[in-house]
Amino acid sequence: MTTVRKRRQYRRQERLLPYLLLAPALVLLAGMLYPFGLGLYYSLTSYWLQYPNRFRFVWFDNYVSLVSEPLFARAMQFTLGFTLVAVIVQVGLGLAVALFLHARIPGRNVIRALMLMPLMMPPVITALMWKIMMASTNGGILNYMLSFIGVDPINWFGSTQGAVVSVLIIDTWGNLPFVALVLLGGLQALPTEPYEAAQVDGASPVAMLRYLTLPLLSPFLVLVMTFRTMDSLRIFDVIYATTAGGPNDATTNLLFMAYQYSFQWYQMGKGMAQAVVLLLLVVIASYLLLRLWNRAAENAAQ
Amino acid sequence: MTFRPAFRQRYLWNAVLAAAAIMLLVWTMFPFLWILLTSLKSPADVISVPPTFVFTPTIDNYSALVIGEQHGQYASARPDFPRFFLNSIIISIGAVALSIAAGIPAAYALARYNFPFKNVSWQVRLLAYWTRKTNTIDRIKCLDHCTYSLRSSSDVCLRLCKKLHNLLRKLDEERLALLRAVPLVTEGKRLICSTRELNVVKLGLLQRLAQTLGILGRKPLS
Repeated sequence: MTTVRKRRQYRRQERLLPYLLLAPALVLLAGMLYPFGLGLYYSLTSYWLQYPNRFRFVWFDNYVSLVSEPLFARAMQFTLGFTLVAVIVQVGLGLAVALFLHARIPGRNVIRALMLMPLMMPPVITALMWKIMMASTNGGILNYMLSFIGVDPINWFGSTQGAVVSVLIIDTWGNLPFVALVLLGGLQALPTEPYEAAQVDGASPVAMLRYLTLPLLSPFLVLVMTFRTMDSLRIFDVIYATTAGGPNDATTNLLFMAYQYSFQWYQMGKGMAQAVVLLLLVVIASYLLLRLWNRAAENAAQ
Repeated sequence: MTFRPAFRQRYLWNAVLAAAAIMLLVWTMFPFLWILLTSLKSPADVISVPPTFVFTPTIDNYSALVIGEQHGQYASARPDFPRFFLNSIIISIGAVALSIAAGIPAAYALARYNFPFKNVSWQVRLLAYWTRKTNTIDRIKCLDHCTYSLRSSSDVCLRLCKKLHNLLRKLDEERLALLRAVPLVTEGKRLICSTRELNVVKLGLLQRLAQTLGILGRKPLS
């Protein structure tokens, strides 16, 4: 009798044990999901910290009001345009750097190691470094060096175009090593037989690049494009540390706009609605790119 | 990718490579160099026009940080650097400790025990399979999973075995043609996918069934 009871007790414990072990992770998961759910809920309310009495559930009014918001259109335009240009520039340059670092050059390992140093920098520090170098007055080193090749001083953060270009340069500096690293890994994983065959056939290096390397590398290119697209859509730290969305809202992207609405103007409801729109944008973009990646991987495998 | 240009071109090629290496290094390293230099400058040197590379270095900027007090012209507006440093250490150690403390038991439970809802991720993947949104490798894994669950349900097994017996009596060409005609049944649901995949899957499935029941004596069926 006792043995049966003991065995039952043991079996019950055995049944409960995995849940017990999972409990801390589930608590952490809940702690991550709770703010997300709260944000979704706030995006459907008129939550405004200055007017706590006006808190109402307004369904999709915040989303509808975004359509007539002029800043939203500009922020959307900047977000999409910046992402497009940043991804093209960074993947293009990254491919060039990866091909260069894959070639047989003396001191290749040293260059590779030094090349990776920007990866270790926090983005805010990167932005501040460049902010010091891009100072338009008081001895900004970049303008000083450009004056040697006959370029007039550029108003880096003061003009609307200058600010956009500055953010692009800083983001590129910080993320180029990542792109180059992934593509270099891809290049090193490529099979050597097609190249040997092409060499025997007397193919030119350009032809090898065009007809062998790029198709074989396409899964890696799409993969790195996915990462960069997602990160560029939600770029925040560089903008926050350098231009703070200015001048004249020229570098305000969706995320920065959501930040301004929620934490500078305290309109939590509207800010969260913008954040949800950005989330949807990121999800759609990553879904499309992952589908492209599947196709590229299948094609490269054949 | 070994590219060896003709001897005449090699000097030009080497020059191009060297220029590229220098440009890459300047682009990567110059900001670090400049920040290092700036950190060793006195306030007057920092804002000098034009910028200087030659100046009397000073470590007062660093000592102002470590001392954490007002320090003459190097006074920082938020001089409590030691406290900020401690904050960083507390946060990083805390985050690592917390995720390890929660992650290790969870990983052990997932690897060691079987319990309801454990395979939610598998079901999501299977769902994704049926909506054709995963890649090939995932599909094959999913089907592996299906065949695994098939092995345990003897009813379906027997039905497929009968078909297998019938199939093995036919000639090879016919056998393959018939394999294409076998509907893939998994727990009452029929998987719809491209013909090529279906054939691969059916072959694998039948092969595994055959091996399990010892019909073919582990001889691959292909």
